[in-house]
Amino acid sequence: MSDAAQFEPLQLEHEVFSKPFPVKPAYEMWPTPDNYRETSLVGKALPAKIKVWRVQNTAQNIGGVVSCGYGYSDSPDAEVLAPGYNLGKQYGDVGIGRHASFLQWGFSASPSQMTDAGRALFLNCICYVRKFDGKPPLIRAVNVYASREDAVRYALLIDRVRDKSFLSNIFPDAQLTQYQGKAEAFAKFWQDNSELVYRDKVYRVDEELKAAGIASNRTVAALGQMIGLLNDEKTAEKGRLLLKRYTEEDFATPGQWQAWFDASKDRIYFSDVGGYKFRIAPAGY
Amino acid sequence: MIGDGEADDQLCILERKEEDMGFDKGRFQLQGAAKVLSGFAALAAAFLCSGAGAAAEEPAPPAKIAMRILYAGHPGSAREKDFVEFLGKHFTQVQTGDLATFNDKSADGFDVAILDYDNDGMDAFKFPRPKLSQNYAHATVTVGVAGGLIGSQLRLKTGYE
Repeated sequence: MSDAAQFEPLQLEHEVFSKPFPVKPAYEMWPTPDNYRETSLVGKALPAKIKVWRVQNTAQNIGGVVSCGYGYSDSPDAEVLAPGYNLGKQYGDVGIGRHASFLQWGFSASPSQMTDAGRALFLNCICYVRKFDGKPPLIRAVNVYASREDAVRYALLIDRVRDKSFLSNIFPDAQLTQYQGKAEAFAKFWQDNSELVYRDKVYRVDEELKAAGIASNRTVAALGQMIGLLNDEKTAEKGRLLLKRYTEEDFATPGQWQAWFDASKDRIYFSDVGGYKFRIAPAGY
Repeated sequence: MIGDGEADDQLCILERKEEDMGFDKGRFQLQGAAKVLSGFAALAAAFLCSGAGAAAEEPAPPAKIAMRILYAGHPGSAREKDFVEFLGKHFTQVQTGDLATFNDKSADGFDVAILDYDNDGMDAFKFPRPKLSQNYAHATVTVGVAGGLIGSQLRLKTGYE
């Protein structure tokens, strides 16, 4: 049952589905795995069956998904090419994905066990990744399980994990007490505060950011607002704190911060799995 | 809550998309060809009305692709043989290597390296881990669990979950 990729309409427009070989998936409706519902609020809302297409024919329950989907696309050097259907991981986890010059083909079969569509896509992936030869990753994952979406996933486990020290390394202890027996409410808390989530040893909601009236910690506009706090003596200290939290820069004056921002704002991105930091992509990336 | 009606909507969207990507796309290709040949209208018309024109609607499979591929896996395995036979049908040059000894320099001179391993009867977590530095940036396809473990080792988003 793990021989398939999930149907994703927009991804069919990606060149790996047409160049140089046309990929013609044969679609089937398969039962939505229980693990999708157990590990995400999005998964809970899925229909009874979802659309998939077979990449390979191994008749095994494992072997189709390898990488975590959360945080995959939060830097411009990575992309999900096809989420995989899986019975042991999460909705949206990655069957085929690329990070810089590495393309991960998560399916296990050798070519004779691939479908025609799977073989065509495999060949296209080889041709596609060639374009990225010599391009190292812009970021290395500080923790691939530390995206803000993962906070929701872990929150859903609050009543199922026996080793409480596991959760103590993920959430503040006070919250674990507050939400014991209320898994969905705990997950909803993290989902509702998604734009303000960051990590400082454990997941936290950025109350300083919220108090400053900044609605998100990951938009370019928010970074501009953080820099703007430096221009007022009353808010400058908070601005410095937030810029230290969310960037790797250390400029002496507001003018230098503003000049840095103005020169690079078209190339700024924010990565959760890269450490909850704003970074600048190289020109032309 | 997404109901069955939405699933049906997805089917309709797909059918429309297949129309867009199939017949229509072929037609666009013919239109493009006609535009290029606009200075030779009579010749173009003759071509499009001929059997050759009809054949153009079904694009011929690409000939062998001029790329040098290195498949580094489990030497002598049936899986290696399967991959090499398949790749050899589509790429002009395919060579093999050993995943266990693959290093930063192994892919020099190749366009793409494929890193894979035969998992028959073997604990996947005991697959060989090539010694790659963070300077390694060759175009590389990593396959299956062996590939995911390489991704984890290099702290890539493609790492094994």
